[in-house]
Amino acid sequence: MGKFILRVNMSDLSVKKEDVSEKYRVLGGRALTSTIVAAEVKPTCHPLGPHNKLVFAPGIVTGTTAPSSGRLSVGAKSPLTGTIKEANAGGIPAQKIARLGIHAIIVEGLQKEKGKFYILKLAQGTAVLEEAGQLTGKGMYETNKLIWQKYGEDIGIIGIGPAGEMKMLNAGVSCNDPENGPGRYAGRGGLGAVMGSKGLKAIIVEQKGPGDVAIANPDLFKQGQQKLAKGLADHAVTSQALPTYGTAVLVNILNEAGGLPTRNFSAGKFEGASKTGGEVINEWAKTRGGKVGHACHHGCVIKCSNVVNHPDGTYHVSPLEYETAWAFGANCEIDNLDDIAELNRICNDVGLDTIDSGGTIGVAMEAGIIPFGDGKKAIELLNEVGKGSPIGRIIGNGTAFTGKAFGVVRVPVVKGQSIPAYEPRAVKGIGVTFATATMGADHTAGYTIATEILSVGGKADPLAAAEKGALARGFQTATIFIDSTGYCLFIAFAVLDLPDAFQGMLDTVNGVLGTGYTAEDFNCLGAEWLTLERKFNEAAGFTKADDRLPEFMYYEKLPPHNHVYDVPDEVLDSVHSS
Amino acid sequence: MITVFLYGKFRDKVAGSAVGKECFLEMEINEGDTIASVMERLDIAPDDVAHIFLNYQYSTANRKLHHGDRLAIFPIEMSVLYRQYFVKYND
Ligand code: SF4
Repeated sequence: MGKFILRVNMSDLSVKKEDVSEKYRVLGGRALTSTIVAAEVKPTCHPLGPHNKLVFAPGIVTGTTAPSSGRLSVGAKSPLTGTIKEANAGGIPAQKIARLGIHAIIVEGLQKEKGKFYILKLAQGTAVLEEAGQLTGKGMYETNKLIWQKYGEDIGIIGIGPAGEMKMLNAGVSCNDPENGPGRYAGRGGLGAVMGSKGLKAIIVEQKGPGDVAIANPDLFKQGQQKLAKGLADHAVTSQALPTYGTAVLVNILNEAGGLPTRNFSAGKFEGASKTGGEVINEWAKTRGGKVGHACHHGCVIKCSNVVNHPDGTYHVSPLEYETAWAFGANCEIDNLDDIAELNRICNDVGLDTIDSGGTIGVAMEAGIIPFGDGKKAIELLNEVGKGSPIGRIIGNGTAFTGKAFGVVRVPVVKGQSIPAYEPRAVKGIGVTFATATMGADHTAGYTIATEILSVGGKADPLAAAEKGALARGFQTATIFIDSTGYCLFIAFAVLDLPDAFQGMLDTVNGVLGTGYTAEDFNCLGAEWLTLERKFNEAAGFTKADDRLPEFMYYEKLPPHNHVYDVPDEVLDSVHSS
Repeated sequence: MITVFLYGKFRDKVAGSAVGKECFLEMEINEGDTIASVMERLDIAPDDVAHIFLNYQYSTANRKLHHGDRLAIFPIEMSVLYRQYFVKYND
């Protein structure tokens, strides 16, 4: 089956099929979204105006039987950061899109009638725009429910909640999980606002069965798949820790490292950490029902996801991840995991990124709008976003915007995007990644955290400044490669440690594409794609001066280590200079 | 006296401990005590340990202990690492 690109024009409501060029054929995921955005979007355009484009692309091996490979990349110029942006998510739509033969979806133009929303309906051989009708204005839980009721179960859904419809800077793009929960988000960078600006409420994907994904060299692919599957089954992180405790196991670990950002980044240690981590989620799965070891899409063998229930055993939210448990937990000094789960649910429903929402609430607490530690008040405040009230619109625009609105100095953002759950003053290498990533502060941009706290893939001392630049670039190139394959980034734990698993990953990519990429090509390609993203940002007006952490980190000592951020600017500048 | 924080299955070593609460023991130490000797007293096998933090620093088991130290021990089931790659604080 030949692959094709779908070009969806919201101005004239046309949907056109285009051939895939040889250049684009060998790309997928982030490499493809960033290449298309760099080629077709003017870097200086307004992100919510007519000249931005929103691109969806499954990864290179997505849709095949390769393990944990159902990721969907979403790209555009970000309204939150002003940079190029890619965010990716699991959930069920990506594999279905790939199995329909769709290489990428490019959404361009703006809808003519203001406030009118559409859905894009994809099925074998058809792609049509329909009016969103009663779905307009609905939260993601109801949106997903109504879509399954009307179009059938197991439909893949990519959608935005009210935050995206209102074009808020912190709006994310939701993908549904196998149970039709909306919790798998391409959350970061306000891509939901770009989707909202174009009048696209949802993309729905009807596809069943294994489909017909072209594999150029089936033997090589199969061999690679087996090697990778074995690596994931052998490695303690991917076979034990992640399915047992989920990513939230990191709450206690980072807390003991003094690197868990607490009370809006004013300490590295949280008294309530034990109440908000993966051990509690694991315990609740036994006492309340719910689940650990949940897969966000069919074919994930790592299963880091979970389902968290209310005390009465009814469904509350899925997944509750480390970043979210931290953002609303330690960062807001909220030590009630049920309140944190509710804040997570509101984000999933209204359509917000949880990391930036937690950052925002932390800054609002710093400003005295509500007290630190007050989960109930935080829930009330976050609920304002969906109503579109004046305070809701401030909160929905994210951490940087809220900091400005209330005159807060301690605003933990880089390039306008809030810093995730690793305190740079305690874990300095990840600070280099946050400062220099092409997308603003992003924990998935480079896995220095893995080296430093989790100890995967190399040696590093978390508190030494030397050689962080080269380390950060190395990890950024490895990351962009994985983000392009369609594999979940958590395979990195195994592939960076186990040479066979790494080779298995490469074999599956070469098997699908018919290419002969070596490990060296892997680095070169990653570096090439990273340069492409950097160039876009430079043309959009970004300079070295933007590759810095927020100033307060350079003069406020962070307990318990009592360090400031002291990685010299030259180290930060060296990351992308060679 | 030092304080030892225990996670995962090591919580069982403290009577009445519960997931969701900080689980710690106050222990007397003697001259020359190391993390390893304290682990031995707690009946924790080195192979069964994923991470050790001493005063918030990632550490090997052979560091000496001093009064007032905070020690934290995570079991192998909470391992998210290949330990040989991690530069650990050593005395
Ligand atoms: S490891 Fe977790 S996030 Fe990754 S694909 Fe599996 S369930 Fe989804």
